[in-house]
Amino acid sequence: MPDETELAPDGEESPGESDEDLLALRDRIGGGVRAARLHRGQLSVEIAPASLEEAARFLREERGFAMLSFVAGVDCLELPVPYRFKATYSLLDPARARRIRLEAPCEDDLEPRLPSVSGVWPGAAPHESEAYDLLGIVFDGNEQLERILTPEGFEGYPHRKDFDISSEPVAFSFRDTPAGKPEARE
Amino acid sequence: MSSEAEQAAAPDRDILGPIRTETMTLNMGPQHPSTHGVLRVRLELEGEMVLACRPDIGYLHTGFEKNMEEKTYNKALPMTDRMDYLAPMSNNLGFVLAVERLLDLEITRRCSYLRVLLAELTRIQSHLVWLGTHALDLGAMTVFLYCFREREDLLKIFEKVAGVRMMTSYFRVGGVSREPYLEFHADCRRFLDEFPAKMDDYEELLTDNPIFRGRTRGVGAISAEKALAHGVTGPLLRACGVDYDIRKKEPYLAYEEFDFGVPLGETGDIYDRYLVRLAEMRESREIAIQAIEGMPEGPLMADDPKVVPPPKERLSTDMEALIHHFKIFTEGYQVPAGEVYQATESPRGEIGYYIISDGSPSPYKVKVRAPSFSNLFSMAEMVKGGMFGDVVAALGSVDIVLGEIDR
Repeated sequence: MPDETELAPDGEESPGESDEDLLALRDRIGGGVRAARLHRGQLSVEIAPASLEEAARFLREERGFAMLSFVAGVDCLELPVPYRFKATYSLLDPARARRIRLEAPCEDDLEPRLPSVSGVWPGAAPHESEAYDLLGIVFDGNEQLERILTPEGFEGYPHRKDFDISSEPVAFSFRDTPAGKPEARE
Repeated sequence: MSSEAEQAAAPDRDILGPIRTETMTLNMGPQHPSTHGVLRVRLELEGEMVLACRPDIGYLHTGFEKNMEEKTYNKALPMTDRMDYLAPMSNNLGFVLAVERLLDLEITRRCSYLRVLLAELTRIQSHLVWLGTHALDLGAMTVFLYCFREREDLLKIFEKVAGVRMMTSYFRVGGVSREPYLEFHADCRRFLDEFPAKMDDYEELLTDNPIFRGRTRGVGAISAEKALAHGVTGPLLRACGVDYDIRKKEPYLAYEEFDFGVPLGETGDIYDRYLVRLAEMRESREIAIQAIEGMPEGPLMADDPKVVPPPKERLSTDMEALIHHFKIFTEGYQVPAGEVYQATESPRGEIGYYIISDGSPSPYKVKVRAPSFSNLFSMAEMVKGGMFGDVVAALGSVDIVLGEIDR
């Protein structure tokens, strides 16, 4: 997708073109900024995955966004967007009390991957692990990436929209009982 | 058995031989009284020195966020209480503010003031639990009993206001669940008037206590820069000297109308966190008094019949009210498509709700930014290079609630 897109659903305000952080980011990574939206006074910027790390480093080191508030993985299966997975990064500049959100869509719908920003904000590592655990997005470069919330040996990614929640696997399979599952008594 | 005993008793046992120098991995938890819940901490030790620390979480993971996607907004709300069960009102607040932002719904001034009052009482209540359990971890039992005595007074007020002691679900989208009871202000006033003397008692027991100071001063410190990089928020961040309080910097509700200070620390050690939280309780008391004195007159609930249920007495006389009531409680209300992130200052730090709506009556995606989550993982920085015995002190000073970490 080239940089002309505005993924604005109905009723969106026009993106704050005068927003200095957005302008600076556009200056720096150019086509890496795919779109920008202003919704309810909050700015979110869609970044190409290849430019994500550069954008993060630029925003932290030159624009004062010292804190990464959270990373959230999102499964966009039922949303009107041309990709399946994205990760949202919420940044905070404590000096100006300013927040900005970065969104990075994953290029591959089947094996979603994104570059890790844990080298920029060390606090990103556990958040990325959470997104990996719940949605299966792999963050390249995060050395601590592990399934942190689900139990050991858990299969599937529970926050994906197509994860089957109609039944719950029973932990007692009677696999190790020689007689198998006992008959239910009437 | 006998061979082991023989070995131990053998006179030529080489106890003074070369000392083994490899590091040791120690497992703390998941069932450990000082982990305040179910948390496992992997520690790498060299003798008594901590080389590395890695929290292992997930023992309380119940899929709250996924569960919310299947519920209408009103039904998702009670789940927020259960995440941070020590500060239920603060969690409710973050959620309802985020939904109100999505709806572009304006709440009444009286509702803002009432929410401020209850949020600050919640802060006091939560800090009391922290103070009691933290002091208990460090061996001071009396403080624990005192704190829980005062907390009980607050829980009684919450019970009278909301009907429930802990899982209040009192704040609703567009307002609160019911009018506060008649003597509500008087009860709050009585508590707030008596509270400073109680706080003096805690401080007398701890602030100059040589054992408490010895275990907390210069222990578990983290620098402001590292704290920011790790996403540390709340009293932990302010103890490092970073002046960031969301109530001041990004005011929500009516916080800009209140006069209160933001206590800051200097060194970022455990003792500073203690001082900051104690000072915060006094500031919260000031805010609560201002909220009671300045409580505006007027309606409590927002004026939006599609979102706010009509008063009960209108149901039997007003057809339209009956329809609205029925629709709100069966199919919910439609929230315009879009996404917002609403950050608020909970007792533990920045609690934020990132909600994506697809225009339907249930949220498409909810991500809870839990303050304890980032704060807990910053613990590795706090204990690195310190003594093993200080890990429990550092963990207690972080004030974690595992319900919101694991969600």
